[in-house]
Amino acid sequence: MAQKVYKGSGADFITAVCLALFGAAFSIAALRMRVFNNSLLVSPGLFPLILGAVFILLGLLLLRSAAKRGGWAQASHVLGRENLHAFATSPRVRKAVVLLLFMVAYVAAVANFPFLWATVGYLLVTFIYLKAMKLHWILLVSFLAAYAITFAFRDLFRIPMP
Amino acid sequence: MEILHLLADEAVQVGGSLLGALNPTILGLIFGGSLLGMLVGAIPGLTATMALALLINLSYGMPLENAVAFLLAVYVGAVSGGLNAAIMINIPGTPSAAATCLDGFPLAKEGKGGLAIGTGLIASFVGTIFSIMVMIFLSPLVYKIALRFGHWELFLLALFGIMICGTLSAGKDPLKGWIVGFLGFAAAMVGMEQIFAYPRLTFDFLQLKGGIPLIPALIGVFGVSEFLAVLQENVAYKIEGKVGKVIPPMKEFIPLIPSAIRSGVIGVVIGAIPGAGEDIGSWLSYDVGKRRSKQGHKFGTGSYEGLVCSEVANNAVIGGAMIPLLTLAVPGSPPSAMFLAAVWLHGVRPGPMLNFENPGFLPLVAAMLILGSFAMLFWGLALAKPMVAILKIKREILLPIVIPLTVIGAYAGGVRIFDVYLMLAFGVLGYILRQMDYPLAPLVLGLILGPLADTSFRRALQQSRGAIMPLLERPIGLLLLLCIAWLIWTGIQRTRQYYAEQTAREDGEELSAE
Repeated sequence: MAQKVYKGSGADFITAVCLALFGAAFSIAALRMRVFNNSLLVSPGLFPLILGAVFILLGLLLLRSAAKRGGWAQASHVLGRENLHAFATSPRVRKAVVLLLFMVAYVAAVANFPFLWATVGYLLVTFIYLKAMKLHWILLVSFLAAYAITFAFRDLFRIPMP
Repeated sequence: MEILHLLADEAVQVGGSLLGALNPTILGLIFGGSLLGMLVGAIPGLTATMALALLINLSYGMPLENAVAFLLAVYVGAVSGGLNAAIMINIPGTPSAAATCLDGFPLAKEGKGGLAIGTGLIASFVGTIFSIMVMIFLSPLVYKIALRFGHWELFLLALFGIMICGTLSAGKDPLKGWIVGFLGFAAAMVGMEQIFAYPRLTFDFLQLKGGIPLIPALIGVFGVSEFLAVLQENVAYKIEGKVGKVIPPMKEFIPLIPSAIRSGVIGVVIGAIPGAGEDIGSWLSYDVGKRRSKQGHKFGTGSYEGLVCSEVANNAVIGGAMIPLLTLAVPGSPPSAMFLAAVWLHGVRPGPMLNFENPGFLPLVAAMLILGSFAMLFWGLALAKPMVAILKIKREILLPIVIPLTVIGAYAGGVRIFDVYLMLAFGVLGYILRQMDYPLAPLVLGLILGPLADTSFRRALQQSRGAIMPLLERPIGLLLLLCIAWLIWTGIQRTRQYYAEQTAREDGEELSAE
């Protein structure tokens, strides 16, 4: 008979495995941190080593709880092709990813172009994507907001700007 | 006698700081900061932490006194500003005003929105002033205890901080809070460690040698993640009723005094617990008020007492959160963590030695909080009606404008684009944690307390030559150790109970569906 599956158990199962793996990697990195022939007790790797062990322990605790609630079966379903496709195409996820990409592009633009124009571009694109208002208002608000921010921080408060 | 002398001295210093602050520049910064804080706090989706994250960059170029005045005014204003949206549209402007919705919105539906806002503002003012008084009188005592802390006690304090923060902020599943707290510790391990200046986990990035900068990480976790989480939801809201009269009659307040005092005490205690924050204080006070009050059955139907319980407590957390921050360098709430990061930038190191290194700092904080509270009350009562009009502006317009401010905030501290990318990375981490119902406060607290825990632990072992037994004989350390053991024990029990209840509920739902 198949084990009964409970809500959230799949996510907990995957998190637990990731946490235990992260803990193991952290511990291995910590073991390489001994310097000046000092004993392990004062070496820079001591605390990270303990942290790695704590992550493994917390991961195992979460794994045990998730496995009891049918986590393995749920995790297989969560990582299944159909589910991943549904996740990737969900409007909520798509919106968050697009907004994040706009931000990354904005930061890259800020590093290479004047702050004012990079900000105008970012606000323009984001407002259009979010359908925040009519196009002529978008143009006006984007420019005015970018100008006000640049003026206030650069000229008024003399804050270092990108 | 010595304590009384200390307290009298403290009170005189606060008076001196108050008089010193009565100059146009500081008053302008306090009133300006308070107004900006209230505006940010009033907008649903923007929290008090976000308000500080967005406005912290304005304080970089200011002298210390001005920066403290400005940031604390923003803090007080933002915590109080959340009540406008909670009362008028049933969506809390900040999470700390969530309990305010329960009684504020029914009052607004009865056409008493203005009176509810006025009552909430006065309650917020009372809560802040009460907590400042407690802070003034308790801090010198905590300093005296904190001076007895050795490396072992400091390590245990840091551990206790993230354990209790994880327990309280994760609700019914403390395990998740602890995981996030230890992730914060792990993030704090990046960069040169403090004993041998040995670079750890830098992956050959020169920019990571100095560690993960606190301000970009905080802005990412609380600002960027909030932006993504709020904008991906399509929540429509409408403003309920007219604002009407704002200032309530004084006689209405007299029966509410016992509730206000109780809520003030709850707020201060919750504030003093590392990382717990305003929302926990507000909910706990509301819950206790509902059970203890003779009018408890009216809570949730438009009770002024319920409103007072929530609003006094969330503002009382402010002064409470300052006690561990100033005396032990352990922030009591996420916005106070932001304040800690800002004063670090100005060269002030809160902690047991603060009273010797910067003897006037605690009175300065108290004085600025008092002035900030008056500014908050003034703006809140004067602008109650225009503030509601701001709620009509779509979030799709306001929130994108916030992102350039976060970019400036992350960049200006270290003047490096790398920090802005780091902010985005922490934003994504914060967003994922939010989606999985993991609390964010322990992450930030772990990041702040990580270096203290690491260095203190190794120095304590060095002092005891690796032996654990001498460390266990120290009374304060033993007490902290017992508290941590108790937190772990009860936390595991609570997590088990939560999952047992969850599975039982799902089984029940399935049976009833069949």
